Amino acid sequence: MMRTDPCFEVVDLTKVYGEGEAEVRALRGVSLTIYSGENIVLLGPSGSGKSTLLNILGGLDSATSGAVFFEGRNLTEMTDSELTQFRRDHIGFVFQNYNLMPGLTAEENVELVTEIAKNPLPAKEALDMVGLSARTDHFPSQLSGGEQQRVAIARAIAKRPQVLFCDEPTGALDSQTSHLVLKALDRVTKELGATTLMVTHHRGIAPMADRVIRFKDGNIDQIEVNENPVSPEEVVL
Amino acid sequence: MILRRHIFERILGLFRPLDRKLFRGVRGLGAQVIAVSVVVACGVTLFITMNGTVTSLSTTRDTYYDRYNMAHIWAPVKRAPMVLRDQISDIPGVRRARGRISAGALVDMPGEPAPVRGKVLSIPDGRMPDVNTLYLKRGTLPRKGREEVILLDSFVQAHKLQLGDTIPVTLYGAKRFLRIVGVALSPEFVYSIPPGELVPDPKRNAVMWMGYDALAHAYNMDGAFNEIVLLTERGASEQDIMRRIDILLEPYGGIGSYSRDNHISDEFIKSELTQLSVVGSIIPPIFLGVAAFLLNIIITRIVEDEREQIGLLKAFGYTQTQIAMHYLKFALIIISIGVFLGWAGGERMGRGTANMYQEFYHFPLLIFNPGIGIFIEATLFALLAGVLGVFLAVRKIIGLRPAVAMSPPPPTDYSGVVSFGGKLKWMDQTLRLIVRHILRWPLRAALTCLGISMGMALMIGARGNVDALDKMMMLNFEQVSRQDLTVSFTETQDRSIVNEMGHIDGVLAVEPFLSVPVTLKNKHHIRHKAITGVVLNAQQNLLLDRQERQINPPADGLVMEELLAEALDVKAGDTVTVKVKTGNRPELEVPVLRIIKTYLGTPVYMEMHSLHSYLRNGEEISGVYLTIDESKEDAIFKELKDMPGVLGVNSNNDTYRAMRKTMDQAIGTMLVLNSTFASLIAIGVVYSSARISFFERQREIASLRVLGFTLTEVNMVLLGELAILTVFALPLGVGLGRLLAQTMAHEMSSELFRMPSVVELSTLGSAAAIILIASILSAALMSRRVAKLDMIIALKTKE
Ligand SMILES: Nc1ncnc2c1ncn2[C@@H]1O[C@H](COP(=O)(O)OP(=O)(O)OP(=O)(O)O)[C@@H](O)[C@H]1O
Ligand SMILES: [Mg+2]
Repeated sequence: MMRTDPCFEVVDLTKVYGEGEAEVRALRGVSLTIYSGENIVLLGPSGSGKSTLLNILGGLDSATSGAVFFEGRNLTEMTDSELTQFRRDHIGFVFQNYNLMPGLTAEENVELVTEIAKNPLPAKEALDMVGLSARTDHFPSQLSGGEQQRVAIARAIAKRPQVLFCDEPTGALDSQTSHLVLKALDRVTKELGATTLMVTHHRGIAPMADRVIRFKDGNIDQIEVNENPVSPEEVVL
Repeated sequence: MILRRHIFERILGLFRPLDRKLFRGVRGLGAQVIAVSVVVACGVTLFITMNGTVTSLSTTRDTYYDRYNMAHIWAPVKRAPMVLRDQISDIPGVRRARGRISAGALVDMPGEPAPVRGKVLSIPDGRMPDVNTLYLKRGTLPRKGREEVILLDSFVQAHKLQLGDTIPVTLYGAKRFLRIVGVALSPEFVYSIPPGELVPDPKRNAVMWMGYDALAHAYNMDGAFNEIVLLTERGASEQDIMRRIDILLEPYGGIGSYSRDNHISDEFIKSELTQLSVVGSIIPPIFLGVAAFLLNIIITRIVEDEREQIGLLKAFGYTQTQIAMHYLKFALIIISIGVFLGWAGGERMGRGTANMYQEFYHFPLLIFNPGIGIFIEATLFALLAGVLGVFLAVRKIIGLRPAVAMSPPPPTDYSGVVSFGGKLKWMDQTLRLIVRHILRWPLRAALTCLGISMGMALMIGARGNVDALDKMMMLNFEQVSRQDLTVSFTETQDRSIVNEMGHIDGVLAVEPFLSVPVTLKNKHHIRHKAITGVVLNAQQNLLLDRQERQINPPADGLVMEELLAEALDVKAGDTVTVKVKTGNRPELEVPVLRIIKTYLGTPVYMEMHSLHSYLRNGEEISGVYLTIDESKEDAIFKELKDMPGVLGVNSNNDTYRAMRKTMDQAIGTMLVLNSTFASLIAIGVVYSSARISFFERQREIASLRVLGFTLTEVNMVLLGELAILTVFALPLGVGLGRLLAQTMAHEMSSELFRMPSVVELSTLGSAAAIILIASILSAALMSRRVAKLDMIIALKTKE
């Protein structure tokens, strides 16, 4: 695997929710370097802090202590509008619950992002990449779960993001549909050369990654390096 | 804070789990609960105040009339012997008839620019009258044969008189000093308005009661009476009695009897009661309707939020009714808060209103006593609003099969919107999101729009009434009565006096008028009026129609106000019988040539020369209008006061000021309250709509934020909808407001006056401004929420 420049540098990151008796230490001093173009899968038991990490890296949440550097800039010191700009320019998100705008068609949902991006793919092309060119004018209510998730992927990658965060993108899907979604993800990230960080409960997905990070109790338990990542077709779900 | 929550949870522990959720829900809604409660409270307050005042006022009046034997019929006559009274008593249906003397008088009060026109009424010597009994506040009855009087309380107060004081009264041409021995109220003078005027002026309304002997002596009426007052048996026909009295009195100069319907004081009370009931039946329901709507949108949101939970409850075996009851309870808590506040508010405001009325209507005691029924009625209306709001909200969801309800809600279906929203390709994304959202729930958008415009309409309606009164005043004082002074004579004078007046230093113009008291008759319809003789092309006191065009009455016929024509059942071209009450008392057949519409009173006019030739009484006039050089006003006043035959001089400015004061007092408070309430509604609706829209779309908004949309861009999506709805609500509010003002003006109109339905531009402007301010404030509050929105929480599935 080629080592390129570091994309994210996470230094002794902690996140504490609540206070007093209700205190939850979701992250307990995580340190990690993520390199550009890397494809990482994040595994770990429920509640171990995976989503929390993803959210902080994606600029959706603030850390309690520690630092996150993105291309040398410290995210934890950014203002709200700087974080907004950061997300807008560099990050794509895919969530378990799709989070499409019910009021917009598939194509419009993608356009929502292309409109504000600097160098976007045409919305149609993005939908084409996830195999949905035939459903561009459908509203989310008229699409299946897998289709909705693929629209969400198209929406995430249409801006050609440097980094793609996926939090259990196949969590709500059956295995056949999951394959479709993974294929779509794999294809677009390869084509765009995006760094991806995917949280999942499916161990079977792990072989796809360059590195597999296992989380436990708010910290990294173990990191595995895959010298030869497999293609989505070979994944057993 | 933590401790408080702790206690709250402990108390909740006492309830069933479902109810616990309920209380947490009410607590969580905060401002919205307040908004609904306040609107309910406003509605209940107004309902209790208005309808409670109507009840209080009418019961007080009825009790007063009953206990103090308010006459049912009055029958003025020139002079009739006392024996005639017994014949009248014998008319079937007459319970008690009394003959009395009613004498016009002039009271020369120090400090008044002109003598005050007064009235002296006889009472039986040494006894309280048993028709129109007096409520003696202080003092005693006059002693037999003495020149002692009981004086009307309001006059005594206005002039700060004392028992034992004497007042100079000109009676039958002779000046006398009458001693005040008593102060009284009378059911006949509840609303004491000086003759021929429109607003009460206690200073200029002198009513006195004197023993019969003394008054008969002074007024040259020994053994005679000039007015019959009588009580009828329950259920007797007043029309029949009046007809028979008129026949009996005719030979003695009877000029027609009349009943309470034509009694000025009672007429004013009735007109006030009508107005109050109109306001009481139009305004509170609007408030409660808005409350129902607000509740509906709140509950709708909660129900949609709790869709899975409802499915679960159904899966557990809860019935639809149980689930509906759950949400109904929720609504009832909110409504109850409003109802309690409304009870308290209504009681307070009602008492305030009663106090205010006590200033205008002289009852022995007017207390706000709406009766428990009004409270119950108000409560039932409020509860109805709650039930309606909840029913419409839960109707759909509680019918869902549990499995359907439990599965996560499918994304909102916008596909139907395309069919009538088009593809909207020309719009940008933000606008498209806004428009689709509006079109997705067109009914709700429409209701929100309607709610906002209702608030605006109420503001316009409340202010519109005042605009209408202002307009009436303006019209009267600037267009119709342009004179500076009105001089009226004790007896009619020859027209030549006009020249004489013109020579007084400082008088710039003189215009004569003639007022002839008559009875107008057509078929069985009778009205007691005065025909006003007017000059052609008048310059000082103009005859105007409602379009403010000057009318010149055609020769040889009457010009009549529409309502009077309706009351008499005549059309232009018909003939009416005119019985003149003065001079040689001719009875004439006169054609009605033209029907006009005016705002004040129900006047009848005739061109002065024609009136003179009908009367065959020479060129007589009753008074003149003067335009004067204002710097010489005092001198002119003095000269007029000393002129023989001058009954009174009225300054237009003084009248205007008096009227203004009365109106400002009476209307000011109401206006402030109504506008406040209306603004509260508007703000409540706007805020709630914005808040709901925020809740509904927080996932969407969070998604947009995650995608890198800036706060401003997100606010555009959220607040754009509010902006669009507000923009649509404004013209609708103007329309509804005008309609409301018009309806109220129409409903409140009586023979005393008709309200023009005018709404000033400034009224529309201020209503719109309040709506806009409410929108902007709500928008500001919402955008603060957007800024604070926790993207992660919002993105997770619903709790
Ligand atoms: N907003 C919050 N407030 C309080 N605690 C929170 C919050 N969000 C997460 N937590 C807690 O932080 C810990 C880590 O949560 P996180 O969502 O990161 O777990 P996860 O690894 O993504 O779990 P899962 O696999 O179930 O999604 C958990 O114990 C969770 O309860
Ligand atoms: Mg997670």
